[in-house]
Amino acid sequence: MFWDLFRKYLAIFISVGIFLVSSMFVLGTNIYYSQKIAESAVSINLSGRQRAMSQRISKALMLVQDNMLRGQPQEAELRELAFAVNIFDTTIKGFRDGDVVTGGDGNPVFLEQVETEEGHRIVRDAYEIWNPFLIRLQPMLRSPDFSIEELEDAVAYMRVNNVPLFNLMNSLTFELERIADQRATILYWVQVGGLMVVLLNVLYTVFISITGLMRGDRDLDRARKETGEILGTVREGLFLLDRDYRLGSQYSKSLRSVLRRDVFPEMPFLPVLEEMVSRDAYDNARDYIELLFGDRVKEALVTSLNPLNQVEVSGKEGEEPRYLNFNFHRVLEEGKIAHLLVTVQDVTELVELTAQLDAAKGQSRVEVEVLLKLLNTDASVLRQFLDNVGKGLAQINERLRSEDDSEQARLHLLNYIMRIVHGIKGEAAALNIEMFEGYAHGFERELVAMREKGEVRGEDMVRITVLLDGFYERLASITNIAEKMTGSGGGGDADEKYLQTFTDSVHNLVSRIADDERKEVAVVCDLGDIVRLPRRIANELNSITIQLLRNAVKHGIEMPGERRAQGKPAGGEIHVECKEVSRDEYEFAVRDDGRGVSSAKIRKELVQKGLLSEKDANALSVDAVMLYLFEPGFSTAEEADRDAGHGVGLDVVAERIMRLRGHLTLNSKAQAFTEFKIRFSL
Amino acid sequence: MADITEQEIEVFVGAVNRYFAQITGEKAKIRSSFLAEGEIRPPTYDFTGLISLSGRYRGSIYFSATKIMLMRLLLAMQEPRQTDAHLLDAVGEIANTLAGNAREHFGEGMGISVPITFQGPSEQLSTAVRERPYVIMIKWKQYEAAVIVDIAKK
Repeated sequence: MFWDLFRKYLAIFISVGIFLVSSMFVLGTNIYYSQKIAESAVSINLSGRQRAMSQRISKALMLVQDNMLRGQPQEAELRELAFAVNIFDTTIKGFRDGDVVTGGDGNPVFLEQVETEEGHRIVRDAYEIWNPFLIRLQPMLRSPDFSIEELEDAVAYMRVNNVPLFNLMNSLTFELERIADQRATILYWVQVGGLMVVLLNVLYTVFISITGLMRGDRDLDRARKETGEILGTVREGLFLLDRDYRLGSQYSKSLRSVLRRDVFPEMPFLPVLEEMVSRDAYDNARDYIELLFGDRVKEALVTSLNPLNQVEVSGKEGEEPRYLNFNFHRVLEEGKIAHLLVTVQDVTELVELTAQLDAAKGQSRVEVEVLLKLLNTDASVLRQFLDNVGKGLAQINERLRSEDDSEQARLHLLNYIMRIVHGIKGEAAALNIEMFEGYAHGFERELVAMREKGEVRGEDMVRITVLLDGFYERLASITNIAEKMTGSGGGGDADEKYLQTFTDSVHNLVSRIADDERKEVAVVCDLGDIVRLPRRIANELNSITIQLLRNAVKHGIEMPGERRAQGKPAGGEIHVECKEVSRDEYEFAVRDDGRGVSSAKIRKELVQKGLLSEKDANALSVDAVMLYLFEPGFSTAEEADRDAGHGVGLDVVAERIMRLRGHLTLNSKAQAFTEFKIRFSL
Repeated sequence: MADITEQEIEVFVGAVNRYFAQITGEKAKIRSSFLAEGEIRPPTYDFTGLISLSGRYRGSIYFSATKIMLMRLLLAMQEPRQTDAHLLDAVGEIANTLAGNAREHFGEGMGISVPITFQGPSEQLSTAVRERPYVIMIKWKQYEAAVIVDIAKK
């Protein structure tokens, strides 16, 4: 961390270092030479004083001689001589060795040693004159009782050496002034040099800073431009989410189009999400984001929990739903979670393709299932069935086209379509073709829902048409399979195979409904004569059988416990028979040993449905009550499922019996049996 | 289930109905709806406006109406000129509405052609992409028109 900073700002550190070192150097040099110059001033001053002292010594000596010759007192002159000699002597020693001497103001002051060669020479020469002179002055300095010879000797020496000594002191002064000048010059150049270094350093710092800033700006501009290009080009929605769940200042251009919403910097994210996804998805997403901002879990561990993976989002009204992928990634700053980087992709096409793939797989599965079933079915029966379905669908389409738009006509149309669809459902169930049965059941339920609304709108007609189209598609796919199979179902006796298929369809249907109802039911078929009938009539009987078997298992046969309580065997039994009773006259019967048809239950249902008043219902004869069973929309089943309850079934039976020009007899005894017997002639 | 839904069909039918309601103040209704299957062919009346789709869907949607209905429509619009050109303009306008709604509903990924109009039968109208195109009969006042939806997902 520190080293990173150091490397980044190295130039600045160097610059500051140079500034400090150069400043210290200039300051130190300044102090040193200032001191030296001050010392030079003292030296020059004292050197000048030496010139004066040499003259004061000469003058004092001459006055002593003069007073002596005239016999006058000479104490004052001798004191002056002693003073001047002492000052000159200590000062010349100071110049030679460096020492504390009496300053110009009488205070002690340090006198530095002369440091140049020339200076030393002058002081040496001065000593050569001064030392003999000082010896000659000693008698006058020691006591007033000196001899005239001693005085004259000193005066004579003084007369010869006074001027050379004065000149030497003068030269010393010049030499000291020269040294002082030299020091001042050095100080001057040091200051100029220091200032230049400081100035250059400042220029260098400014240069480094400006180039650094310019480079930073350039890098920033480039980074901004690159970021802008990325955010402007990337197809995904891309943005940062902060801890307040707000968008960052920059986001990808496509975010608006992916979200199909206006987006702005620092926009709160959660309200937008709440508007787009379901309540559950929103709640889970909020928890998930909170989890990601927490430090307790690892990001990789919770990725699979992302509730916004392929999430369905709602658009404007009427728009198809879309699917978006929101991916969240933590963005760390100094080891702490600062933001979440969110990418949003529109994966609608992917989801749709996956769904289509699944549907295609499902379709293949269904086709295999159909194929397997059809391998065990008589080709002619299958062809007949598909033919019937095709005709039924064409009839529906024709009625849809020609029906007028009155409310009554539409309700009739619904009943008409329901009968056909119900018939198809029954036949499909008998042949165990669940693909058809299931679709017909769904179709039927939608029709029931429309009928229960009591009003059939134009939009419902469109819905029916779409359902009809779906039915056509299924018919086309099974027809296609059946055509491929043509020939493979051949072989064997056709009548025998037809009978087998008919009987199997009866067993299949009863067994499936009984399983659904958790009942035990056995079927006994005696249908040998059915093959003597034209296939058209046999197929009608097959459709009738299907409806009657549904009713028998669903309504007739009791639950095992109920049967046992009545002393009956737990398993019920249904007999299906077809017999030629006289030439070209046949009787077809379906009989169960269940609870029988309850006229009281039918009456109750009629009253509950508001079809009759209680009084009118009670006034009806049993036969008249039974007739209501054959009315469209009437059912006694408490709950509708795919086998009963939509009020479609016995009206289909009635319609087909009419087509056969047959006669129906219904016999029933409470808790004993119900028998539908159909008599018809060819 | 069919590959298009009634909501998708409703986009087009609703567009026509709303157009009539907006222009004339009187709603058009769905009289009936059926499939152009087998012997039943899609009806074409005197004037037809058609748009073609490309992209995620292909096929066409067209609105076909009798001359008398369109004349009545122009009257309701207080347009006194009722030449064939004006009647073609009227079905073109409705086809424009179909295109606008399709664009709004299906958004990106759906290419929508410029509406084209015909007088009388046209070969373009017999080109079907669906096995069984949807025919929705519209009733406005006592007049009838048809919206034919013949589109399929690619």
